Amino acid sequence: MRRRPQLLQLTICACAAVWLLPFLWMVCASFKAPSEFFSSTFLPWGDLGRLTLDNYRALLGGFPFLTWLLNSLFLASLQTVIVVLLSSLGGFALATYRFRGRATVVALMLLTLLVPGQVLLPSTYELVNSFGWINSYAAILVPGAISVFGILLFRAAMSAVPVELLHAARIDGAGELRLWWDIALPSVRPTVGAFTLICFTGTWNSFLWPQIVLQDESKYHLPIGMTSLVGLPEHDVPYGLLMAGTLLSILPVVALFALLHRDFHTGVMTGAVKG
Amino acid sequence: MMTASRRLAPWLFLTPFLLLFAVFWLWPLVRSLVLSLHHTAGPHHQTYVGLGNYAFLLQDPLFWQAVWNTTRYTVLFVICELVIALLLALALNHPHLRWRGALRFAFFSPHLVGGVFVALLFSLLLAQRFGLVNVMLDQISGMLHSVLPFIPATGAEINWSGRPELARLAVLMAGLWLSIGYAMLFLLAALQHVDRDLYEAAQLDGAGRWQRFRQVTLPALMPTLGFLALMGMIGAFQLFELPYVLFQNGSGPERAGLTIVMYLYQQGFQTGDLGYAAAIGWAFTVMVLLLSLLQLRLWRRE
Amino acid sequence: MPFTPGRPLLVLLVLALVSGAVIALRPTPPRATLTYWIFAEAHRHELTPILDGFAHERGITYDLDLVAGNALGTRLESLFMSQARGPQVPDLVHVEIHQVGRFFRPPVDGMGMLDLTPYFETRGERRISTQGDPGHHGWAARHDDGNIYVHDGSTWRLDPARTRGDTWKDRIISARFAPWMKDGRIMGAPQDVHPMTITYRDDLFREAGVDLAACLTWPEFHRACLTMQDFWRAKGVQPRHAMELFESGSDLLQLMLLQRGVNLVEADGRVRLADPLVAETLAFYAPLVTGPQRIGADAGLNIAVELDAGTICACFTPDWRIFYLRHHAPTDGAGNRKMEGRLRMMPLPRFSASDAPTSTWGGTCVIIPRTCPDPDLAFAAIERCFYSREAADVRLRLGSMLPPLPELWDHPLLHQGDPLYGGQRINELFIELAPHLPQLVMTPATSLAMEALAQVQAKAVTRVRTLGTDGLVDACQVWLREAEHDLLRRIARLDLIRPDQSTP
Repeated sequence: MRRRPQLLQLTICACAAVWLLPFLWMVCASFKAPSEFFSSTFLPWGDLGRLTLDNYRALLGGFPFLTWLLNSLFLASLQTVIVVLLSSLGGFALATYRFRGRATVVALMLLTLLVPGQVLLPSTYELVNSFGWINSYAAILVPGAISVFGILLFRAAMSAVPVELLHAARIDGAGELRLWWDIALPSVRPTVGAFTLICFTGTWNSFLWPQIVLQDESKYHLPIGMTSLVGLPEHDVPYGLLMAGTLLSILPVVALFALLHRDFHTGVMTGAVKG
Repeated sequence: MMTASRRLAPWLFLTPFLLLFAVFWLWPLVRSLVLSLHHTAGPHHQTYVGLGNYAFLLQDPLFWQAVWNTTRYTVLFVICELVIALLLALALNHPHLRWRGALRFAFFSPHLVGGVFVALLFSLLLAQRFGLVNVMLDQISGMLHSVLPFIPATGAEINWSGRPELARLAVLMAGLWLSIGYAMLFLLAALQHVDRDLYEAAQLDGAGRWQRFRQVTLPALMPTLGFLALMGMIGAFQLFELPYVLFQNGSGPERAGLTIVMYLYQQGFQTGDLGYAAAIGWAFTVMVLLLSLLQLRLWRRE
Repeated sequence: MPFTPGRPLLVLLVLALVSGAVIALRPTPPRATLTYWIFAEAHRHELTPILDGFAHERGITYDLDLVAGNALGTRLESLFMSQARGPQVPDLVHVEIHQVGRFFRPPVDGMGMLDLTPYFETRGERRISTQGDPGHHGWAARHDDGNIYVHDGSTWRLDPARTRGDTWKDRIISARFAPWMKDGRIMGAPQDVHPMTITYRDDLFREAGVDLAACLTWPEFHRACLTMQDFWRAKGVQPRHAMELFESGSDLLQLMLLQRGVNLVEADGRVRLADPLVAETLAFYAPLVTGPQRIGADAGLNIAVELDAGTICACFTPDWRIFYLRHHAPTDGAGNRKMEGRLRMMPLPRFSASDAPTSTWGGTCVIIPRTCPDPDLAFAAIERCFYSREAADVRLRLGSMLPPLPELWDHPLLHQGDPLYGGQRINELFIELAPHLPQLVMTPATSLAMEALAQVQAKAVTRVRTLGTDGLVDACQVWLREAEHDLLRRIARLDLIRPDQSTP
């Protein structure tokens, strides 16, 4: 007997609604003047005219928000492209070729996954300082180009590429690099999609390391910029402004997810199976 | 037939990665160990102190408070995350549930937002006078109180960032809201891979719903649960952004929000003692490695 | 060849190239000649008119950046650690007294800011042109003829033994150099004095039958506040807390300790956390903020709003707070402050007759980073912004902050009645109290000691909330002794104090 699960549907939808309440509150708060916070929880239903765009105006006019947004876009997209290309290249190498030392390299990589990155912070800072990269994006992009997780992910995905295809391409005269670009990459497109989302989100939301190396306000990206507003007294930074900024900061990631969600879910599926 | 280019190819492809890895991972790892044997003040002053930093660390009440805070958070976080995510995944897995895609997105959305922005949002949600949490708690508990007087009304102004227990709860809530959706996705995917036939077989054997769950579902989910538990533990142990932003760059009331990574950051980049920070980092690494090994062994036995 | 990794990655690649191009091609705003980081809005109001004039005269540009307190500390620390040079390094930075510790850890030659002692010892020399020029007893000045004259109370007399007139070091109140010194060197320029008083809603207290200013001791003050609270509670006015007091954070406790002559870490390196006076004062303070004898509540940032509404009826007012009270006091429709005339000010009550009638809270110095390209210009800006008569004029028009030069205290604005206080001459009270300001000692260990005290305070408060005040002093003493033990270990490890750390 297959009944429509009414109660379950209702409960789960209610849960989802509660889960999303903070976002609703955030959107409402971004249109409120400071005094409004005390008078209405979500929106002043009786008098919607009290809502204002002032927070957005102040955010875009009084703070270098657009600069931060631009910096975030640059960092996240460039970092993602670099990491995806490097990781897929490395993963391809580990998956396709049997060579001496392969097992060692893989074992080493698996071990590094267990080491928390924070132990490297003081010495990486020293290193980056000695290169003169403090306060430049090189300090973020170059160390950030390493993703052991990425390589292992692509290795797992690309090991499913049929060897015959590769052989056939070689016979057709394709060089090894072509094999990666023309054969392996297209066949793992869902993995590329999923990993792109992970990388982009990771860089977009990164905090600790950029906080340490970026000194110039004009170089901040969104997380650092927005959190630098915290701590200024209430009359200098109204709460609504913080919410407006947060809302604008999360939209690009949501947009990217809309583009990539199918790939992402496929990636999770295969990951769950392999896990 | 192996051509030269084919033999070289893997190494060429791996070189950029291996080079970066050597410079920005292996070298700092080793250097960090060396640094931890020194004592730094400012960029030019480093003195060798042998194991002095570690000796101090063992008796440092702040460090151990950070360890206690972090451990307590991790345990609660992993348990709550897995239980709630499993419940949600089971619910969403129901074959006749409508709007599954939208619901899935709803629960996953906080994870897209990221730790920093979640913390910013929560810092206002938990504001004493006008935060959403306090307003709702006040209204709901007020309603319940008028009907069932033994349920206390919470009053309108709970000071989340002022009381240590509440502060810890706040961090836990933010962390769970952030991550449950992500775990749920994995569990949902794993659930959808469970062989239908196994269910039918169990049902034919007369197994009730709970027994079907225990005998079919749970074993099938074990690998995923184990993976999520491990990743969750490692991630939770590295907690930094949530309390840092929630408590406005501080460690919270009575240092309730002090985590190991935050202590590392404070000692290294606010007090300026990179050597001590490196020592904290290494102690931290050893802890994580031990815990991971412990967890892997426990899981294998299950 | 199609882009095989897929469309999303292509989109990102294009995005990276476009945004990278925009960033690279964006014209860098021309760096102002002088970059100045501050953390308080009040500073911005004061400095802008003065800097406008200074910049105009010298033909330079300036950039006044408001940075959140914590972010400022982090950015500065980062700059010092990396010894950065270049456009992102400011020329002048305000450092708040509680942040001093972290920057003062390295030895003087490793510190990130410039040693300002030479400037203070050589610049700002007093000048006179005739022997009839005004002066005070004991002043030394350089006459136009090149000789040094000393004032004897009525006129200037030539003193051949002296080689130098009074410079800034002599003219600025010496107690204010103490917090910013390391190893006898002045590392930050003082800009304030910050004597402390209590402001209160006289009308609300009097209606309850209480004359708060007549309370000379803290216990009396406590009782008076309780009387006032009981009166209003009986009338049904809730909440009405007597005073703004913080439950967490040991700032106010320390201010009381300072009155009693206790610095948590003294100039000679002694740590006084476990001093019985500290336990006694803590045991007095904790019941003020929690439990049945409570008189305090936290106002957050809205003290002016709370005073106006009468939800909090008194607060500590160091001179820097007057600006906030004046500017954030709620107004009625016509723009008049609703509290006008209802406030009064009193000196601090004491514990014993030997205590100071005032204390100090907060403080800011101006530092010049070592890598500043033109420190002379930066110091000239400091002189203009804080030690000139013009600066005193601007400052006093806006708020009530005393400049650190006693010779400027004859400014007429300092001797007028304040309408907000019903005509009371509040600045004269500040001036009267300023000489009694206790010496505030800041060492790198002090911030650690302050934090330790705050932790013990939190324990004390919890204990009062749960167990009441029985045995409180003893419990506090035990906790303080533990905290001191831990602090001493930390200090030893970090080699934070050497005996002559901060004596001027």
